[in-house]
Amino acid sequence: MSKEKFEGVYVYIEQRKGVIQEASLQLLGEARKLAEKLKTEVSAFLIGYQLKKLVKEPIYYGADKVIYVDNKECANYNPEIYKTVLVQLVMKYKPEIFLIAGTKYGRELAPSIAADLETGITADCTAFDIDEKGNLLQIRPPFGGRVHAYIITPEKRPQMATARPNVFPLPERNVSRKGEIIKEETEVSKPSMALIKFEKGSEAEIPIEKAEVLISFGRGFNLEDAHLLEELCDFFLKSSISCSRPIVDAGLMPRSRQVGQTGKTVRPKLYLAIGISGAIQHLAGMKDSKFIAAINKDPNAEIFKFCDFGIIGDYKEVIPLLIEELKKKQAPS
Amino acid sequence: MLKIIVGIKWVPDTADVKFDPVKGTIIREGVESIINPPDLNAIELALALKEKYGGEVYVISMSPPSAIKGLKMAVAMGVDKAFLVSDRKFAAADTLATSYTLSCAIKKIGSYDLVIFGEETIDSATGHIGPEVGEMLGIPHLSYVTEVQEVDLQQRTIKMVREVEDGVEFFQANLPVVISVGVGINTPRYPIPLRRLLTELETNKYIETWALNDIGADPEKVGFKGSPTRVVKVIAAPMPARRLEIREASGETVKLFIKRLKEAEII
Ligand SMILES: Cc1cc2nc3c(=O)[nH]c(=O)nc-3n(C[C@H](O)[C@H](O)[C@H](O)COP(=O)(O)OP(=O)(O)OC[C@H]3O[C@@H](n4cnc5c(N)ncnc54)[C@H](O)[C@@H]3O)c2cc1C
Ligand SMILES: Cc1cc2nc3c(=O)[nH]c(=O)nc-3n(C[C@H](O)[C@H](O)[C@H](O)COP(=O)(O)OP(=O)(O)OC[C@H]3O[C@@H](n4cnc5c(N)ncnc54)[C@H](O)[C@@H]3O)c2cc1C
Repeated sequence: MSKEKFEGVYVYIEQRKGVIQEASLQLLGEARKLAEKLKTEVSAFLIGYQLKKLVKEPIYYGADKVIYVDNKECANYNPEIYKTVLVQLVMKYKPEIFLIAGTKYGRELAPSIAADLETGITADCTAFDIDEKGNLLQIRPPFGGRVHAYIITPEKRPQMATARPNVFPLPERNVSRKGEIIKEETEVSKPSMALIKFEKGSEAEIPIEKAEVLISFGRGFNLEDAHLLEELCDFFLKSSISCSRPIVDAGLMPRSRQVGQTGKTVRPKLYLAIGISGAIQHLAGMKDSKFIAAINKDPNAEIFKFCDFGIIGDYKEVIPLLIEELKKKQAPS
Repeated sequence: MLKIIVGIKWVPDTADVKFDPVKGTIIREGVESIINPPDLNAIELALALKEKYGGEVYVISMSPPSAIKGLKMAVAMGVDKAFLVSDRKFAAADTLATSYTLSCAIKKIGSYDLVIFGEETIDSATGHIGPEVGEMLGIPHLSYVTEVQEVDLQQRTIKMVREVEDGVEFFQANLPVVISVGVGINTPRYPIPLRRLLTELETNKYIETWALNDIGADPEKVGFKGSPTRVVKVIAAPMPARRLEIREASGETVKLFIKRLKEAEII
């Protein structure tokens, strides 16, 4: 197939249990910019079951067209079924560019679609542009974010990429925007893999990627002292508790609270790292925070090379001091 | 009897990687290479399943011959056999071409029940290989698996657990499947000294090397030629500049800290 036959910027809009994931709406804003440069349209693919309430949302966030598949078999995400459906949509609509939010589902789904279509795919992009030849320039941060790689897919179409969540701003929701809505039927064959159970994790009141202050702890923190974290948290508005990967691997906190390369990317106003050494994979997730502070008893900890304010000491002594001072500030003088 | 194939990548230890600030390139000389960390967890999972259900564990790596060191380590950990998939024509492969090459090698191995990969590498970190290989083998794939609960050899089914952002999912699949696992799902065992010695003495018995022709791959689909993506340039991304005000803990330090937070309009 010649690449001229492929047109338009398409975004896969991920919904989970009837809720559209913000990461895919963020991509609509980026898709609009690319479409304007290419003088083309933005379309959204949406799949699931009983989607009536959702189908217009992508339009409100910037899509010109929504193509959706509403099928009972698509009620829950299943990598095999979703892949088959999306491949059929891509074959029919022939996107020039096809973007997928790099959530866990997206990072799993996107490469399997690319492999089926035998096209190229770039992972976890943090910026996009159009080069002088009209190719999608895909910029991504491998090596724990220490380099930026510029990648293109010059011949094959669609040009596929996943994008890291919470890097692109959420476009404004505009309910007066109009667009076309198309319902598609696709074949869904019986999968050889099935979801048999889902256990919802306990989600923080404020998800860590939305918090303005993150009190984050690592292996150097003993959870017997958890009350210290909570007390500290209470001094800040829009604050939440996050952690490093070993804490999650040990089953002490849900995966949704993990910061880093294989966790979430956060950029709060204040990131306070307590008993976190500052491994490259951890830094990858929080290095763009506005103000980074650290409490660590090891003066040579890596984290001290990447923070605005560092306190060398045992958190058991430092946090109570901090709480005491913060209380003084709060008390009316 | 379970036949398990584990894919491993021999990677520069990124904690040591330096970047040439002028040319913007990665300096690989003098950097230690290691088995990509989650691939050790993949090997551990495979060996644990073998101990439980019986069977064989093979590892494969598409790599220049330098990866032999990693393959030997895998054998010393208890893997039965290792395959080095190596050919000049495989050079500069993107993930599609890498996955194609690996899937040809896996087909050449023949029968298998489970293929295990790491979740992602510490160098280019795409996490593409597992899903792509699954697709190319025409079997289901699941990423972010934290546990294999049960394999039913009679029914030829497997039960798996995995973690996503908002919770834990339990899947059941027909064998064979491809799964990807992350660091921390288990504690990889150490190489056994005696096996390490055996691998050195009888390398050819444990490690086989396959080139393009051996795996029957289409030369148009491997290496640079078979790669639809092109890395145009790589530039060093400096960490954002920080104030680096580091103080010993004291009442004064804490006061100063709070002052800084006020200045930054955080409190
Ligand atoms: C492929 C891959 C992906 C990864 N992804 C991630 C990821 O997404 N996120 C992530 O966080 N990690 C990730 N890791 C793990 C990462 O490499 C580090 O191992 C991890 O971040 C270390 O966690 P930590 O800082 O909590 O623990 P440690 O490195 O053990 O550090 C503990 C720190 O606490 C300090 N400490 C101890 N006691 C006290 C005390 N009483 N008071 C004050 N300080 C104290 C110590 O000095 C030390 O610096 C990944 C690793 C790999 C290989
Ligand atoms: C800076 C840079 C950026 C790149 N970005 C992209 C990109 O966005 N898209 C793209 O298609 N290519 C990209 N590449 C090419 C890519 O690095 C190679 O194709 C690489 O061989 C495999 O990708 P990965 O390391 O990301 O593997 P991942 O998919 O992250 O690896 C997952 C698992 O697959 C297994 N595995 C990986 N490689 C092998 C192997 N050679 N042999 C056996 N098992 C293996 C391991 O178990 C590993 O844990 C990039 C290369 C560079 C240098």
